[in-house]
Amino acid sequence: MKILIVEDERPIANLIDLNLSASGYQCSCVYDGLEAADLIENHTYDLILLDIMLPGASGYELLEQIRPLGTPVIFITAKGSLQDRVQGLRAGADDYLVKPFEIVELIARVESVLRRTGKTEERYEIGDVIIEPKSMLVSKKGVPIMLTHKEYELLLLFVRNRNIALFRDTIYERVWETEYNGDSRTVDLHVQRLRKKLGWQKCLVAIYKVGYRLEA
Amino acid sequence: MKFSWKMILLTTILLTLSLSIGGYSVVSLSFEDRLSSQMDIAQEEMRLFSTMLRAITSADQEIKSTTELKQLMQELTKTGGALSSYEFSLWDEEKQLIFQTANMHSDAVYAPQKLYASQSWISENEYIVTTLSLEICSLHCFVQRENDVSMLYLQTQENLSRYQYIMLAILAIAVAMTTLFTLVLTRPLSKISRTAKRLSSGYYDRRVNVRAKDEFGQVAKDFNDMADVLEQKIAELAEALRRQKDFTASFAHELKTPLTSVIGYADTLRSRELSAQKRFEAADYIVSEGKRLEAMSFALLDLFALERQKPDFKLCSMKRLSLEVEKSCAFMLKQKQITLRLNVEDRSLFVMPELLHNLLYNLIDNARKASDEGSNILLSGEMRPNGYLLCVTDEGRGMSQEVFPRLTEPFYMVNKSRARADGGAGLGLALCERIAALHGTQLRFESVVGRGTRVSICLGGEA
Repeated sequence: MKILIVEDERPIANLIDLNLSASGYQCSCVYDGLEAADLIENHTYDLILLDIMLPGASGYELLEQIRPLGTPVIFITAKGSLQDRVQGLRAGADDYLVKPFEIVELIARVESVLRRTGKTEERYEIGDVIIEPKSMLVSKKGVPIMLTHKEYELLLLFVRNRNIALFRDTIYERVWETEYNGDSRTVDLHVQRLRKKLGWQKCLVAIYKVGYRLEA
Repeated sequence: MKFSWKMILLTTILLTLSLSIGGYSVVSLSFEDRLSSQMDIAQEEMRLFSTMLRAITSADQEIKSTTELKQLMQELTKTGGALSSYEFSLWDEEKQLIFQTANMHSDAVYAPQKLYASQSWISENEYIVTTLSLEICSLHCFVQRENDVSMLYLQTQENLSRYQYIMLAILAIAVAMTTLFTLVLTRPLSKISRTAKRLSSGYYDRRVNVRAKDEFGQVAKDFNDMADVLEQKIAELAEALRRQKDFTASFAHELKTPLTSVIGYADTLRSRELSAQKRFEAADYIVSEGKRLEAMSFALLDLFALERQKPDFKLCSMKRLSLEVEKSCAFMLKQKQITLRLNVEDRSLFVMPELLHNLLYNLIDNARKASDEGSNILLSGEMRPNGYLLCVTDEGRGMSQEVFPRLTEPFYMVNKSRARADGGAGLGLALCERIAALHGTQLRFESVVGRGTRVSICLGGEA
């Protein structure tokens, strides 16, 4: 899965590169609008992360060039007003990421755009566990495993953020979609059940006082 | 009430008053005149008549009583008599009627005291009654005659009513003229009113087109002047608002960029197992981006503090100031092996020394960033006819003229990535410009790409 990161702020470009690479994507960074135009012309990418204010050529100009190619685009920008978002989405961006952003959010948006545009093979294999999100099927060694809705959501969150420490508040807010009130038992209970059902006692690691991480 | 209505009302009242008083007096004066000339005529006639009467009666000396006189008069006035065509009455000494002709109206006589004196008055039935005292055949008596002047009264009455029609006509014409005049005169006013309405609905470039040289023309001109000032003020306000908006937008962007890095790398560090190399990089980014935030906050604080700075001018030697600046720049220049040369004419000026020091430091810092290792920067100061000129000249990479107007905008950077690498926040020149403004002057840029830049400031306050 090849992703192009167009962002003139090196620290931010490298930050995105670091995290997406760790999640198994192949990333290239470019810090200038004109260079980006060259790269887009000569290479094929599955996804392009695009800053709007760029030296050389602006994000909107690059988007004009990208649209005929059908490559999905996520805008990354400090301009977070509703008007800017609408303008960005109207111009044909697939999603909008406002600075400053969290890593989990970055990965979630990248995954969701890739999923929506049919770029990902909707199938995860972790050890002997296979997950097929399209049919919502989870099986271990070929044997289907029955999961509740929340357990399934939790599993997907871990699978999509492999090797990332997920904090309890992040987990709660992503899966239960309400604000975390400090009560960790709900999360802990669901993680316990998931471990037991999948036999992931070892790879679903608890991080002391913080949360959990799926090591795979 | 509309101005034209007021004018019309005023004209009507004034004209009516003056025309009625004037007309009435003219008519009545001419009436008096004619009446008095009629009286003169009546007296003259009376004199002629009395002479004739005496001449006729002088022959009849034997008349001794009023009865005889009455008989004589009856004789004389009979058809074919000497006095048959005259109308008169005759009264005795006791003012008793002796004789009167058919058409006389008087029933009493108001006699003059002196003999042969005549007197005239107007009776109630519009006759001039003239009485003369005389002696007929040694009998003392009074003759009375009447002249009809009712025509005179009738004419005067007619004149007056004719005059009323003339007055009405004059009034009508006057009202029409006044209306026309006020309309013409107040046209500038209605133009001003229309323009004011346009102005207040946001068309600030509208002006009144009035050529009149009178007071209304002056009002229009004053109005236009006011509109000019207003338009300028509004433009200034809009410009200030735009700058404020730009500033806020740039500030948000400049704040979010390092924050994204700091939060992002910290988040990565706490969530992922990273290699030692990557961990170091992430930590390094956090430190450098944090420092960028710090530099920006301090520069912003300086900038905000300057907004509230009270003028605090002191007499300061330029030579000493430049030596102090050289000292504080020494360390940063040494790192790039840049030589700072001073060529400062010593003068004492009224300046704010700390702020001017800050300004020169910033200019030299900018010059350093633009310069290659081992090059020179010149700090020069000399007295010019229009003030004391301080210049910072470098041999660096220079910049094109197009960027000059934007140089002093907060957060503007000619080359963003290079400025970032140098730890700049794009606020230095905005700060310098503020300081220059506090000294009543501004920065001037001259630059040639690849050859160097000269920034100068001209101070006017020599002691």
